[in-house]
Amino acid sequence: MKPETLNTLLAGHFVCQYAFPEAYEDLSEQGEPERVDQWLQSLDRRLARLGDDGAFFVAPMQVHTNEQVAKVKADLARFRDVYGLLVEMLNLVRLTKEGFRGVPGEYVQLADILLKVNEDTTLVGRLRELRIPGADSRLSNNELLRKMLEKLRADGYLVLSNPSTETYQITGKVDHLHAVMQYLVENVPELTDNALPDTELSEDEAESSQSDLLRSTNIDRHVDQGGRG
Amino acid sequence: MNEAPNLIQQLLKALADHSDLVSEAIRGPVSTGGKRNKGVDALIRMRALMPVDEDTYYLNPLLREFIGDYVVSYGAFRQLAQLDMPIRQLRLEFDNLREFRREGSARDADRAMDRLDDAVVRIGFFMDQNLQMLGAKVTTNFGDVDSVAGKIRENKFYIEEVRRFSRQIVSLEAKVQEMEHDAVGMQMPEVRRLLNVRILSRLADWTARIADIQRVVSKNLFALRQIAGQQRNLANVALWLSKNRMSDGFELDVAPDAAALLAAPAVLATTWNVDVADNDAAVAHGVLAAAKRLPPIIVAPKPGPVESPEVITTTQVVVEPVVEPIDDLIDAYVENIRHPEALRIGNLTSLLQWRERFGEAFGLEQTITDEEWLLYACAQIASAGLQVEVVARTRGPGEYNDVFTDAHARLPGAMAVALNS
Repeated sequence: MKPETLNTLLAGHFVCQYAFPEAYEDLSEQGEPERVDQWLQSLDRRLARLGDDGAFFVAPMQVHTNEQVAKVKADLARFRDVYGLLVEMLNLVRLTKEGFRGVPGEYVQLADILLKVNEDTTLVGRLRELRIPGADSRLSNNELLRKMLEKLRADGYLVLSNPSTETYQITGKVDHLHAVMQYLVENVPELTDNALPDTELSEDEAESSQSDLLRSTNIDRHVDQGGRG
Repeated sequence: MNEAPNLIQQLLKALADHSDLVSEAIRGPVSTGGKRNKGVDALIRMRALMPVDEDTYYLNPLLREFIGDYVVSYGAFRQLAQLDMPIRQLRLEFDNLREFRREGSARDADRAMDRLDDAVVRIGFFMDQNLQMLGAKVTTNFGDVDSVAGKIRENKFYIEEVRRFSRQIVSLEAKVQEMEHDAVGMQMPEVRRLLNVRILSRLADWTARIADIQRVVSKNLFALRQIAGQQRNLANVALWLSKNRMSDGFELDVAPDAAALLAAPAVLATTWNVDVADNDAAVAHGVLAAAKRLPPIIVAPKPGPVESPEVITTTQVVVEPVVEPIDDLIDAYVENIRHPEALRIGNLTSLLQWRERFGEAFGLEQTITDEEWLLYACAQIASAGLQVEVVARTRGPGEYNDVFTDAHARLPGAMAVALNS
């Protein structure tokens, strides 16, 4: 039970192997999660984890269920403020990165997504619609994308794995966002529409991830136009 | 006799001379052009390249497979090597060997033994090849296909392949154990040793490795399904955000177990203070440095010793009420009534006469009228317990009030009796 590990947890971070490798390694040792959990219980907290092999984080004890429920409900009611920008930024990365999976450990390179954005005016439009703090319309696509990735890094969803190539890596915190979106999709009928084609429809459709990309882009574009109309 | 080695050498030399062409052909079809014509011709002669279309040549699939094994690179949906045929071949060679031994044909028996040896080696080779390919597939997470859907399909494909492979291992074990049993009965210890060392002793390792791969492949399938779902969720939620720009969020009832899953981490602000009693060198140095930065202490003069206050008296001063002359005059009258002997004034009981006689002596000035005197004195005397009788004249016709001109006091009945006795 290293003090740095406990400090990282108490600061509210998701401890995964990419964002906090040493703390994650510490927590992955045999019996360590139980010891940390026991220690946290004296602070009225508990050690939680995203899935079986996801990131560790500190959660309130079960007795605080009511406050927890209230907090989650409030966050969902203000979804656009709390998660909106994050969802739109990750979605833009999905549309620009071939074979994007959105899982911890996946690499995202600025140059790759810049190339895709510059090839597609709809993606440029999406990028320029993002309300990234500190960004304005005078910035170039390159600078906007850099600010977007830096915002994701500042929020703990990316780590800069190679500064010279501006290559980032997705952290385990993204699993929390996936859990929130999964809950929404399961509970909000409007969200069950297929924005992405069914991956098991036919061999041809799935042969090329590029076709998936174009298809989803076209669908989104169509909806956007419909929304404006 | 030397022809075969020469051919092999020629083949290997041709491959080495045109290795760049072979490398290119591993990735896809090649065609002629410029300096490549000679190389393509040479490789076609060696059957390393195969024409499939006009000026389109593919690498020999067997060569591709061989090189693919070496560089651990496999195409998508490549089937595992089937063990059914090698197992049947093994059994056939074993039966042949048994028959030749029974017939006493030593030379044929030796050849059959060599073929049996080859069959055993082939089975071991296929087992290792299959396991190597599966290992590469799971470690690269089916990197030979890009789309998620393709990965899911390939994952499902290999789940079936692994199942079939597992069944073949079970079949192999049963067949080899049967042959081993026969070998013991037929006095063929070298065959028994061969089967034991080359196959049976390695079966446990193969089985364990295939079980591990099966577990990873199954988990991968689940994970890939999840990934596809996650991407779909991301796309759907992003779509909702762009379609419903006037909506802030979702009014949902959240169950406690869902809240535990969705809640963000609880931040607990921590800070620390220096333990000044810590004798660690670093801490002590830090404390001293911090102490030096403090402003100088202003020493206040010490106050003198505080003495206990002296107790002078504890008696409370009683302020006596001031007695007016009129009250003294009334008190003397009352005393006179109660004790006439003490004052030697006889039976003087008229209040008017009492005032007239002793008023001045008691300092009562002529500032009050007879009427005021009588009213005040009657009330005071009555409150002292004496009985007051007024001297009233007879009412005239039409008078309804008694007008008194003087008053007398006397002891009440019971008190008078007691005093007289």
